[in-house]
Amino acid sequence: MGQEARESQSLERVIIRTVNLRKVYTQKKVETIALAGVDSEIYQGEFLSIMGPSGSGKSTFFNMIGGLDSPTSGRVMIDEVDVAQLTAIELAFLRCRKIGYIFQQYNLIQYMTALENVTTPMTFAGLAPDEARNRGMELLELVGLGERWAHRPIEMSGGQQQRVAIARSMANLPSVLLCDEPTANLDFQTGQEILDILKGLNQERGVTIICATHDHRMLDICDRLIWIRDGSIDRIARRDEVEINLGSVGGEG
Amino acid sequence: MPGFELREQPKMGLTKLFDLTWTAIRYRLFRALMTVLVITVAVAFAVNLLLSGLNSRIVRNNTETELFELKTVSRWTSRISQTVDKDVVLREFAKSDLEEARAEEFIQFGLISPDEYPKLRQVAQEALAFIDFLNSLEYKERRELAGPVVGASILDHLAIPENRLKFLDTVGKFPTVRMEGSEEKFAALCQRWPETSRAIDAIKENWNASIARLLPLFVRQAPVEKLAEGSREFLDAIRKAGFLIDDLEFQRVSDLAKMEWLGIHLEASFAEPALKQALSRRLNMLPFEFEADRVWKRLQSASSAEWYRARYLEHARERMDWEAEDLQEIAQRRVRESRLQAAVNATSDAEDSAGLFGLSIKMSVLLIVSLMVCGVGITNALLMSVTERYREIATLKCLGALDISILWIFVMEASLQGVVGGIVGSLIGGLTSFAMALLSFGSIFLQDAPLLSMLQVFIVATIGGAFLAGAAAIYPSWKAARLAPLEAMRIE
Ligand SMILES: Nc1ncnc2c1ncn2[C@@H]1O[C@H](COP(=O)(O)OP(=O)(O)OP(=O)(O)O)[C@@H](O)[C@H]1O
Ligand SMILES: [Mg+2]
Repeated sequence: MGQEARESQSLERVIIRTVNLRKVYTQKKVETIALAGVDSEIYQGEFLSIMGPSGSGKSTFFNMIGGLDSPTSGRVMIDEVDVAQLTAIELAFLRCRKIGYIFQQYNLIQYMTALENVTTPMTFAGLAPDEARNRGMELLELVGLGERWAHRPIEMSGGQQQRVAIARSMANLPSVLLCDEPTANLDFQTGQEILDILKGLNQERGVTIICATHDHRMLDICDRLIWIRDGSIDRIARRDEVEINLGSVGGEG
Repeated sequence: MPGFELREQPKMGLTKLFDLTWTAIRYRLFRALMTVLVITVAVAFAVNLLLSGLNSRIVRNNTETELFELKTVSRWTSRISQTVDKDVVLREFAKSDLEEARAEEFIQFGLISPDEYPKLRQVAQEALAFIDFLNSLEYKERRELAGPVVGASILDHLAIPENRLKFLDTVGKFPTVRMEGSEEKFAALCQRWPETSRAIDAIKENWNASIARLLPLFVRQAPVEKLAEGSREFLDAIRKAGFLIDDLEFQRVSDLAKMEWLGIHLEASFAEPALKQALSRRLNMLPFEFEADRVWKRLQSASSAEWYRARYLEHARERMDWEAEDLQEIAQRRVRESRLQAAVNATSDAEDSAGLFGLSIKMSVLLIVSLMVCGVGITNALLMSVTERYREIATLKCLGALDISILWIFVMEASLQGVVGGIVGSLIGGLTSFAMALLSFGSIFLQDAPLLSMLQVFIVATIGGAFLAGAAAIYPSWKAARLAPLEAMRIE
């Protein structure tokens, strides 16, 4: 099976590639090297986990490949197009329909109801209001919040907000889903549900999923893992390789 | 399997953008209202200031013309009986364009050719403005500039070029003294003055000579009484003395003088002990509070006039023939005159109209400063309300909003707040200035309230408020919208 998978991998298209990606934050003359030259390839349709200790640069990597922040040096290629070369309007299109984001701090818009939060990206994409409403309700039901569509973020628990954020990230059926710790604030049961949802999206709709996470259950469902440590890639492994060394992974996490 | 071919993100329609804007305002209603409040206060303040200035100017213009009419009799009595000096002549001559007959009279008195007259009058007006300017200075400054001389003779002194240069030199030393107009204009005035001065001297001579001819008539009767009599002989005497007056005007003045004369008589009658006592009791005044003005005020009503007539017939030592309506009319004229005079005094700083919108310079400076303060206040309020939402801007960008859509959302919100603040503010400012004018001028203001210019100010203030607020939102929201989302999140 390992052999098979390796062959299929070489056939897969690279959807996101980073070339010597660096990000240095300068604050009050103190330089923090968040990413120190990362080369990586992400394949279309795979479920990728990014693991690493806190402060290792996962969120920074996530923001870079999502085209949400500009690198200090190096390049991010999405579908072999350099993100730095895109116009503002193309970038908006990319963020709106091609990539869905789930943030560590949810980033819901406080003055909008759950439903409005989910339908806003659809509005940006030019969807008719009725259609947006229907699709928004479907997505909220998918994450189990059909009843709470009229609630605002402050009226919901962290986990519920996280689920609204997942529904929102799926608004325009993106081909890539970027998740920054999607299960961090959820109880075991809900976390499992979210993982099932993500897995379902990956397997049934072929959505490429990239998850930054500490959650070890992710090991069971992801195709590949990237470990980041101090802003560099520590190790890349396929799941079947990892399963053998599960003990050592647990020690690192 | 969806691919990655990138197209352009569609622009959003204004209605959808407005929906988003409205959602944001509704939820942040309190915050939005605070911004509106700031705009309201700023606009109300500016509008109030502007309208108060306009109101008092209008009140002043109206009262001046009406007072001129009400004072017809006293103008005529002093014209035919009071010896004039050069300053009075200068003042009268400068204002002689108000009455055609008066201009002609001056042409005759001054032996001026009619072609020369407008030119000379122009010089007189400038000279008067200059003298008024000198009079407006502090004593010390005036003393230094003009020496002990006052009035028109200062110009005789300045007509000599060296004196003029010395004068300008001294003006330069006072930082607080500013002369209006250019130096050339001042030089021209000084040069043309001697000619005008001669004409004014001639007017003075002839005018005083004419008065001297009439004075014997006033030995036994006061000029008002003579005018009130309105006899043919008196008219002829006036004309022969050199004053220009036609039959119609004489008739009018005479009718007015009759009332005036009766008024003088009645006012004297108030002081007669029996009548004074009756009046004090009726008007509920203590004798030491007794004032003619207050009596006139109370006698404006028909019943009071009737009542006084009865007392008068009973007690008055010297009697004139009059009806209650006469008393009522005189009382009303008197009250009106003192009210108008008060209004003129209260609006003395609206006299000069050299500043903005015909306001005085002082008022204009105040207005400009207050507009600047309002501008800064509004800009700051909007700046704050946008910068506290950078995180939201970043999130909207992550969801695929175009930079321009974000700009629209924020500018629309700000303009909306500006419109509401502008409307409410100009209403408040307008109403308060209206109320203030009403309180200090009463009916005098009401009859000519500048409704049209109020409406203009409303419209300008509303548009101005919305525009200023919208413009103030452009900078911060564009700054944030242009950046990459995470960069925008970091600027707070
Ligand atoms: N805006 C910023 N300014 C300065 N330094 C920053 C900024 N954001 C992140 N960093 C630094 O960059 C490094 C990487 O941060 P990052 O948020 O990517 O870590 P992480 O792997 O996501 O951690 P966690 O698991 O806790 O979310 C950290 O050392 C952090 O202090
Ligand atoms: Mg993180």
